[in-house]
Amino acid sequence: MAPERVPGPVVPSRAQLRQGPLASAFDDPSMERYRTSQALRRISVLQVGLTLVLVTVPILLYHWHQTDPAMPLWAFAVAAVVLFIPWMFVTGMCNGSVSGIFDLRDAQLDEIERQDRDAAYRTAYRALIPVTMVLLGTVSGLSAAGRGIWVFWLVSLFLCALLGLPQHIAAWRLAARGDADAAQADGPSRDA
Amino acid sequence: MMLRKTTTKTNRYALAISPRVARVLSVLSIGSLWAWFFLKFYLTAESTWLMRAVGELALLGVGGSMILFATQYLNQAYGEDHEIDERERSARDRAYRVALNYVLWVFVLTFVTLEVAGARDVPKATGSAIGFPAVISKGVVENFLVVLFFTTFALPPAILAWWDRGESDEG
Amino acid sequence: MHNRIALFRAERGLSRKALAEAVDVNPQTIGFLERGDYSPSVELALRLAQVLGARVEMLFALDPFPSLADQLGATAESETP
Repeated sequence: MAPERVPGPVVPSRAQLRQGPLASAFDDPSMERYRTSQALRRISVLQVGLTLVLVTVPILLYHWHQTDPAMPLWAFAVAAVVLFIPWMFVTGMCNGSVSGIFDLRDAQLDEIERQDRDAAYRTAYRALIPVTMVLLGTVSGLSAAGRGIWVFWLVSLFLCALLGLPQHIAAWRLAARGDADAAQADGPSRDA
Repeated sequence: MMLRKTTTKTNRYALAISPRVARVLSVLSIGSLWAWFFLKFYLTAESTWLMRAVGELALLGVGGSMILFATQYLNQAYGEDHEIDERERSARDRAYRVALNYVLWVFVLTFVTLEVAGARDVPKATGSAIGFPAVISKGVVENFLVVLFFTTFALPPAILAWWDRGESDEG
Repeated sequence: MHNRIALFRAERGLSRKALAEAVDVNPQTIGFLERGDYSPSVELALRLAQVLGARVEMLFALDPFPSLADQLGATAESETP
């Protein structure tokens, strides 16, 4: 009689690992409406727009305060806080729309989710090198022209873009895949 | 250190250095770049010999990064997908993930440090200052971007060197 | 995931380098596979099985394989009249 296979240590399943509050929030059925191709693209564009506003408006207000002392400094602080709240909400939506692949641990993700996350990081990192080079050139040019405020605006924008870039890459990839899946589902079946 | 064919599919020529040397080089070059950046931020222009010595640190950092970039880890870190196997691709993607998170944290921490240190130490400059809320000169921003550029280049090969067990091909 | 790549490789008299060349991977990858530090794709698993002349389920399993000594012992017991 051949010996039976030795059972290995009990490894928790992915479903068991996704019991935590963060994973449960991403798995909530209400999140599905943010995961259609259209929603993924809309949220991504909205997040980029809000990031631009969040970076630009407070810096412009601060610049205004520097050039015109009548402009109160608290306006800058209020603008920063007021704009930060919707930005945080939309950034959370952006993370939710990509199923939390950037927030959950490896074991909580399936193979495709891990692949999507890695592909997004890879593209983001490879973009970082030429972007840093262009930024360095632009900053040098702006510095020479004496436009310090724009240097600060650019560097802040770069930091915000860096924070969200993998999420946006993943969102657009998932949207393209959603479109491809939909086209396949609508097409003629093999049995027809 | 010698020029040798890599063990990846393309057999490109690269600088063959042991993982241990690559690890030392990575710490030395990335450490030198950051040391240069922060020392330059704090030092005043009067101490010229010290400034020159600090300048050497930048050279060491840039040189080290370039060497690291030309090692056997180059192909894995920056080669095309078909040039490496699936295990190497998986390690490379993990290295990118670690590197991007490092860059993000370093960016945020440096920004905060400069704001705090700048608010206390740097005298309020006039036209050349960026401000907000501390006074950071444009030179500091440029130096930071130089450090960021070279560390971004050198990080994936450096991380791969740290993960390399240096095992022999035979077995 | 558990595997018997090292066992089959030794049985076939192949070095890591030779096996790596046969399945088109870096020789270090064979070390990672043998230690269980890397789980291969289905494609690589099938190529390994083909080169080593074994079925995939003989090479890879989700549960640990029984030891060879136990298996041989069981076979000897069943053959004893």
